[in-house]
Amino acid sequence: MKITALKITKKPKFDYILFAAVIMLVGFGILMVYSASYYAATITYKNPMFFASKQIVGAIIGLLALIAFRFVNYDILKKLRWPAIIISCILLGMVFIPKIGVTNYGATRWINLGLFTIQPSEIAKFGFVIFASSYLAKNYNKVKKFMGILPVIISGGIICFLIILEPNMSITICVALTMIVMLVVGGAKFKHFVLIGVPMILLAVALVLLEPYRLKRLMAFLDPWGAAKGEGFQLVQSLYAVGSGGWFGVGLFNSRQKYLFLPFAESDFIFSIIAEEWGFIGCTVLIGVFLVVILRGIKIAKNAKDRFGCYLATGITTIIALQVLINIAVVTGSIPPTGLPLPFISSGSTSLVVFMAAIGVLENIYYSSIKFKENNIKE
Amino acid sequence: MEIKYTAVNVKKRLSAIILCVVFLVSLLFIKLFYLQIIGGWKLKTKGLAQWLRDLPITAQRGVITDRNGVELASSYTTYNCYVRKADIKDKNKVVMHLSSCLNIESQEIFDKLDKYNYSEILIASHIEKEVVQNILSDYQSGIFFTSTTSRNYNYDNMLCQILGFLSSDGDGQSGLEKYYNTYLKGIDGVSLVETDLKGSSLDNALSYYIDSIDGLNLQLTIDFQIQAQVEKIMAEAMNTTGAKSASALVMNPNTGEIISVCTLPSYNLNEIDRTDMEKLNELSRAKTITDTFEPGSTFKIIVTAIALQEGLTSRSSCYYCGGARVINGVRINCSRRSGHGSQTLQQGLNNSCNCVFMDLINQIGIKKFYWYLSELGFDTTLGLDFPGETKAVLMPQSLVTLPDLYRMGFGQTIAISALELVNTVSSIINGGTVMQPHLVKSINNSSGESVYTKSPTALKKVFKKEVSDLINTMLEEVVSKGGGKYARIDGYNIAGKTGTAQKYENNAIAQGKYIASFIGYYPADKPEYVVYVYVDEPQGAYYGGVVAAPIAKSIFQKIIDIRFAEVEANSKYDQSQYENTIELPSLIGMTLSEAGSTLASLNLQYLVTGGGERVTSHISPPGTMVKEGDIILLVFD
Repeated sequence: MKITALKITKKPKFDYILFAAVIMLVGFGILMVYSASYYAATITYKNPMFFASKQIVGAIIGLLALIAFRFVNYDILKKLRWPAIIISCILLGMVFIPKIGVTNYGATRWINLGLFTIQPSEIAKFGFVIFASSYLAKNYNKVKKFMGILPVIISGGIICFLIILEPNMSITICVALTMIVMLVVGGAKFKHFVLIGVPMILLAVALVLLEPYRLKRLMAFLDPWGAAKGEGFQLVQSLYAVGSGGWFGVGLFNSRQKYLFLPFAESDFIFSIIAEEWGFIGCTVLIGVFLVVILRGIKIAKNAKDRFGCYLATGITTIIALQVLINIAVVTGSIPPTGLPLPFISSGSTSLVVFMAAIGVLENIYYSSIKFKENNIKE
Repeated sequence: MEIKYTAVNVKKRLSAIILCVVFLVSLLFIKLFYLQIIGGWKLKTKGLAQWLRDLPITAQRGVITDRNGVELASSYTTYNCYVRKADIKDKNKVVMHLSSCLNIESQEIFDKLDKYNYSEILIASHIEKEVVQNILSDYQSGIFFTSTTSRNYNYDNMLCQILGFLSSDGDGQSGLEKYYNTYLKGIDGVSLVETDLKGSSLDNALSYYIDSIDGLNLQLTIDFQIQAQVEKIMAEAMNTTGAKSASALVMNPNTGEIISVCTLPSYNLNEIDRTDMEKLNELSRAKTITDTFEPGSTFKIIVTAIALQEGLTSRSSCYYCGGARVINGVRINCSRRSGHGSQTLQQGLNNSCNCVFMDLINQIGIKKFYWYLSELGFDTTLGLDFPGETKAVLMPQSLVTLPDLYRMGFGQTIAISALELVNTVSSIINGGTVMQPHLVKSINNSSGESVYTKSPTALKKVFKKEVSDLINTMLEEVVSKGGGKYARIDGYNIAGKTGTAQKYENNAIAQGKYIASFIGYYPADKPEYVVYVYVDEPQGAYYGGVVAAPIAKSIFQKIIDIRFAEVEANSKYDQSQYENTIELPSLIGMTLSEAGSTLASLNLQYLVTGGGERVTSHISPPGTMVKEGDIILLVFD
């Protein structure tokens, strides 16, 4: 009898709230990818389901990955820290091999694996998170010294360097910021951030000045109407979409901006179409669901059974949070435009599968912490 | 039980990160609220401009008619042919088909399609409906038409300088077309269709249709029948005199209405040659209105009237002509070097003796003379409703020497326009009132209601009725007995005065170059028509009485035939084209075959554009009055 009573008070070993929120996002994502892309897909590929069907396939694989990682003890990842960072670097390097690397819109960000193309940077950012979590957990007593955090900075630097070569400014920034957050949580001293922060800022300025298009984009962000037909075009079109939404939006499938006006309406700028079709209320609900995911992620980090779990959950959640914040900031013209997909929503299978797998990892960290507590109680 | 190896500061730092996220999300909410709720309508309005593609619907330009409703300039529907790149299925076929139907080199069309990046590219404008039908007989997707309007000048050269012509984009460029452009032009309508970025119409797109408002119609003071005769007579005169140019101006002296105006050589308004702009500018100048010249002896009427008004002379006052006057050492000859001897004012007019008028103007004096010129409106324009009216060229009063003044007595060293001369003479013979000359009698809307009517406007009363009557008596005698005898028609009291002016070129008398002129009116006792004829540089005979008076006589003869003899002349110009109009029913929602048979039963033709199943809109819109045989553009979007 006592045992059954204990079983009743037992916490579920699965974070249903997180899972439900993610499934809602993915489902909504498929719907919105279809809505935003069917017209352009019909014109370009003669197939209205071109993007939506890919997204469905990505969601199925992602779901399988989520479930799989839920059952893989994340401790394994700790041991896989070197393979994780090395495979990440190799994949990023493969981008530059002719015929394997795929160039689109002036950037070489994809590798062709015959049946499909993947975007290594989407994988590498998680590879880095695994490596950094593992290192920081193992060497938690060294993080007070600058030399102690140097391996994290170097590995992050290499990943950033390879991504910036593609070039992909936005994911570079995303990785760099993730690194900072992980160092913060890992207990690094604040004065050390100044040591890495100043060179990073200088580097960022140098990168902007090095590639004239970045400066142009930056200027376009400050006054998109000044170059509404050139650099500012995409942002202006995005603002038309967001602005047309009003309180309740123009209704599902009723976006006008998706009729080729807004480039990348199904991927990086999908939030604009959501804002147009669902309005301010819809945006509020969507951001609310993202907040649920982020808060659950941080809660899982807080309650993780060990440092590695905590850091890993923090890294994963940070990437999600950063991408949501940056993406929405870009489409609303709050920061300079940069192409970063909205997690779980934007069209793009690699991103979707990897994010869902990451949610699986979070679920496993959650599961492990509950199980760990139970074991402790039993003892 | 707490997990031992999770340091407390990790949780604190994680909480700090939550705060950061919440803070940043709040910022984004503020931005979103600003974009969507506060500034949303502005953005949406801007977006709207790019979501709709507009096709202009050209307003029909107003008709210009004579005073009796005879159409002088009319408008009819033509079509502009566009290619919408996004809708092309077979580019080669489209280009070849258009090339053969429109007689344009295929390369030219290819170039246009490659060169421009607009969604709609204009291939040909103002094409006739037959050509459109040819193109539609083998319709290729991507081609479409908009209706527009073309101008037709029903009588080619007639009144060419007065009516004027249009620029290639349909605005009046000269003449009345320019002066009344705003009224004639109307307001273009627009047809808006929802499209994507490239201009392809969306499925189940909304269309908005704003009909055009047709231009207003001008009714001129011109009398078509008289005009037609004047043009004919002037053309003959050009032949017989071999002149450089010849003009005629007919005016109603009581109202200031211009009844007829003609300057030759002329040009065909329907075939404007824009390659030689200098020539076009020369030909399209309404010289009677825009050019000044020294009027010569016809000006003596004005001098006489001023002298009579001032009581300085009378019909029987005596003057002596010895063949010349010498003033301040300058010898000024009379037309007859041997002199006219002793003569009365009437005889002076009959003989057109310069000496008499040198005496008269001397009596009037510079000051008084200039005062009268000002009263008569010589120092300003008369306000004719026409672009480019000129004012008289007068020497500054302070510079006028006595010899200059003497010459002014017979119409030299003073330059005025034909219009000014005719208008001033009119004011002398109509009882003494300067009327405002005008060309437009009324402006009417398309349903025939008048929106503006010009009533005769008196500018100033200058001369006494007695002066007017006396002048009429004297000038009648000039025609019946004097120098104007070649204008005489037995049984009709025509009055008038001849003029032969030497032309000046580069401030010197141009040898052998004259302007022969005649101004006359009928009936002499109660004038209704003033006719002024002047022939610029006639070959051979150059005296006004010999060259211009017979031309004026022919014009008077025709005016009498048309307006004074009881002739039924109007029936010829019956406005038959306004018959058989039909009110267009609504075809919206019909299939092509339904709409086709409906239109066929009404004897209407149609064009098709768009790829939909049913008619979504049509041009002309429902309820429009259309003529049998018109083309209706059916839009299937």
